[in-house]
Amino acid sequence: MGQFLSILILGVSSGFVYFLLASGMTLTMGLLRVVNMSHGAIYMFSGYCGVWFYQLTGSWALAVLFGGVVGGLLGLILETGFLRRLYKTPANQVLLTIGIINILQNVTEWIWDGYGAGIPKPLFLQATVAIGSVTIPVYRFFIIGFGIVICAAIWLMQEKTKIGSMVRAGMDNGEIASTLGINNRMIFMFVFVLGSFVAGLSSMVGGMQDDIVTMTGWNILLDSIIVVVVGGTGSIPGALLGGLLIGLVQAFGNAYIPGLASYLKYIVLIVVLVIRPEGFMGRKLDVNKASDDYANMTAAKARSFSPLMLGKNPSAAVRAKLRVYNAVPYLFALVVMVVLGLAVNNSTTRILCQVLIYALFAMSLDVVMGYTGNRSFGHAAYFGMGAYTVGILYQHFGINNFWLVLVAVIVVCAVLSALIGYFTLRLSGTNFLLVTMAFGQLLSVIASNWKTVTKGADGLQVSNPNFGFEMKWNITGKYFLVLIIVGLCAFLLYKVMHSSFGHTLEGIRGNEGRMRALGYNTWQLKYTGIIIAGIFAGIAGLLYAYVYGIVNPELFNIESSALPMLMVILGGGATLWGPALGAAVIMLVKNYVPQIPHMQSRWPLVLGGLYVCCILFLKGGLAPVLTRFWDWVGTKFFAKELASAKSAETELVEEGR
Amino acid sequence: MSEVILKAEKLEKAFGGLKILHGVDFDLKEGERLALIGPNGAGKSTLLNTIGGQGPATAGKITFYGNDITNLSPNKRLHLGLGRSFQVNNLFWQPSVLMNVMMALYGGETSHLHMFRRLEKRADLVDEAERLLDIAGLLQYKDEPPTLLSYGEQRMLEMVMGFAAKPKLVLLDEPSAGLPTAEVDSFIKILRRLAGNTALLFCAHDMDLVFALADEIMVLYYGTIISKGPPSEIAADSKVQEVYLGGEDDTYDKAHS
Repeated sequence: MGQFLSILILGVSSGFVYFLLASGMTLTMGLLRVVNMSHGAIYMFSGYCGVWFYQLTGSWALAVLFGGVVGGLLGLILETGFLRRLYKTPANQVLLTIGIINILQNVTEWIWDGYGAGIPKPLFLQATVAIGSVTIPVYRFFIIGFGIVICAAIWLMQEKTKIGSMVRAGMDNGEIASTLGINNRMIFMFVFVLGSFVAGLSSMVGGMQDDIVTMTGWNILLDSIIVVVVGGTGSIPGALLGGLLIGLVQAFGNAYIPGLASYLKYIVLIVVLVIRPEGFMGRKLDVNKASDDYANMTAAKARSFSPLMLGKNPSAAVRAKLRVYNAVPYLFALVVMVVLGLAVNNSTTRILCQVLIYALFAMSLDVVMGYTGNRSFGHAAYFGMGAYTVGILYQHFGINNFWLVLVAVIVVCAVLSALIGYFTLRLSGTNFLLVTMAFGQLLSVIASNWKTVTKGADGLQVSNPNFGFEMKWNITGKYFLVLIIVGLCAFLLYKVMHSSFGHTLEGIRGNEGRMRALGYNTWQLKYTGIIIAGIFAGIAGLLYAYVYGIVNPELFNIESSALPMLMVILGGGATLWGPALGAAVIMLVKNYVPQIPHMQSRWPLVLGGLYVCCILFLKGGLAPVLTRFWDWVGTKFFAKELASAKSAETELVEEGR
Repeated sequence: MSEVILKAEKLEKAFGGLKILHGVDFDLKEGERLALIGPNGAGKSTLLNTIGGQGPATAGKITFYGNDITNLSPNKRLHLGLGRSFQVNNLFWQPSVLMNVMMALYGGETSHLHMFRRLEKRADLVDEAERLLDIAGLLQYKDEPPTLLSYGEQRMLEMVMGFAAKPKLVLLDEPSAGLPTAEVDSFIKILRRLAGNTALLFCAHDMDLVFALADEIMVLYYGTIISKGPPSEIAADSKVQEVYLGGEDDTYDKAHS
């Protein structure tokens, strides 16, 4: 009984911590439709600042308040400086705020040398209360009380004040609210700052239960998302309910079924979403709304050069010339990669392997994200699964025949993507994004905890593959193997994306409802796209495992999913070669930045900056710029043909008169 | 007497608490061109959406060639022969006019999982698309991006796409909306050629179009059909005149009593 009570109180108090984190997030998601991934990072940074203030002044209460002020300020900067430009583009918000997490975390590490915050407890909270046979720390009751006060305050604000009714009106229908004279901008800013303020205020309180460390921003991110989705976006009572549910499930799970405890919250999430996709108390969110993100990524534009300008029936010679013109960029890339592979030293070759592997990973994501316009945030699941299939087959079955493993990876990733696709395709917009992320995270938890199979955080060793024929397995050998496989995969993807099927995916991105009216079973087509993407991501994972000889749970984490998204955005989606180029840029930056003096551990800061800059300034990515350049080359290369085609057309028009 | 192909029985549609359709009953015969008219907010687009599958009916039943299609997805409806075109020109993602029509033709086929065949290489579809574009007078623009077409030409392209898959019945939502008056006549002429013997259910505000095209007219008023008959009858109907011309209007009360 005593033990039960102690677990109950632990569960309730951590439930309130979850609530405190999720309340701000649920408000911004419900009202602004903004997914603020950096909410947890704001919590983390405010905690560090609160401790600093405590050490300075010695007043704990003031330090709590100071944390709130820091959080509110960060929120103000984030909303007015960045997120305001990104309304209605959830994938961009997510990536930008992931960049912010990287920046805040790295800055914190920089200032505090990577130590934990060491959240202090004032004297009156260090006591314990004895109830029967167990003693319960007083601070848990304090957290519960604090949570109740904050919950009541937000609820009263929302229900009883004028600004609260404006917030609710904005949640129901922002457009109508603004025509009624409600200043949406001010309301949005107010809500965002309020949410961040609550996160900051809670940091010194919640930190008493779990100390805040630099990784906290990442660690609590998924928990708060789960609470928000389970409770229903936009609902404060929902966040409370969700928080308590997850807190209790965690506490009792840890106590009674420790082996399964870490999976429970993901299971809760998936069950809730399958039964009630909008969460306990949520309203239906952006269902059937076209995604603004990439809907018009490659909207048909008048180009300065297109093969069509060469006249109706170009001669064989012109057609041959056109084929050369089209092939040159690809051949150029191939020659560069071959020459580099032969010329550079081993450590550079290793980096080039990474470039190629991530290029394939990013190209596979492009099928879903660029071509179909679905913002899958769990793509690392397939990459990691491909790598783990290699590891598990070798460690537990001794299989390292390359071809056999390749077939196994394709089958496993096809099945996994079919499964994840089945659950996620019924969702849309923000929920699709969050649930794909949760699936990736679930796999990460399995990889970390199912130690008999995965060896946990140590990861699995992979031996050299056996090809059935002699092959030198040095770094150059590896490089050329990777080059050949990635090249073949890229060729296949190119073929598929330029086929009739590829056109239908682009059609779905453009206007799904219209495609259905034209007779396309869009569900089936999207589902097939997800499976294709999953298979190629799995092959990239296989190459990763063989080249690096080890697979570990990090392959599954959120950053591993966000990175290829950044590559797609940087390079320009729906082109295949754009994401590959993005992969090259990012992998080169990642490997060379730490070699700059004083920058050894500043890579996350640079990466964060890259996220922010790409999202804010590089709308279409590098692809349109390069396309324009190549069009310009085309007008020079075909100058003669273009001129004769034009004169032929004029003649035709003259004749017509 | 040709057979009834589409039958709507007691169709109701509500958005939340707002009831738009109050039990609509009608049927449509093979090859018939049925116009749906009524004042703004009568529920014309909602009725078309319910039949086309863009928003499922709240209650009631729709039968098409003997199949119950009430809750069928739009793509399955198309494969049964029920096509539709939209009021807004919103499908121009393909690089050329020709490719847009090709997509509409390809949509009418049963499988779309051709992973290695380029759509451009389907000579049969190219020929058919060019034939349709020729009828619509758009053949000269086949390689242009659709965004460069004029509004009227875009409407025409939308029509071509609606008829491309050779459905047996096409739903048209305000086909001539926004066209300059000078273009309407030729638009109607082309629409007739495109349609051939295809049955039509269309809603329109433009009475010239309605009287030029329709075999039957159906008047929808606040979610209820108040009159249905041949154009001459409808033109003389006092109820319809009240709805359109105003006066002592108690039609709404009658319809809902």
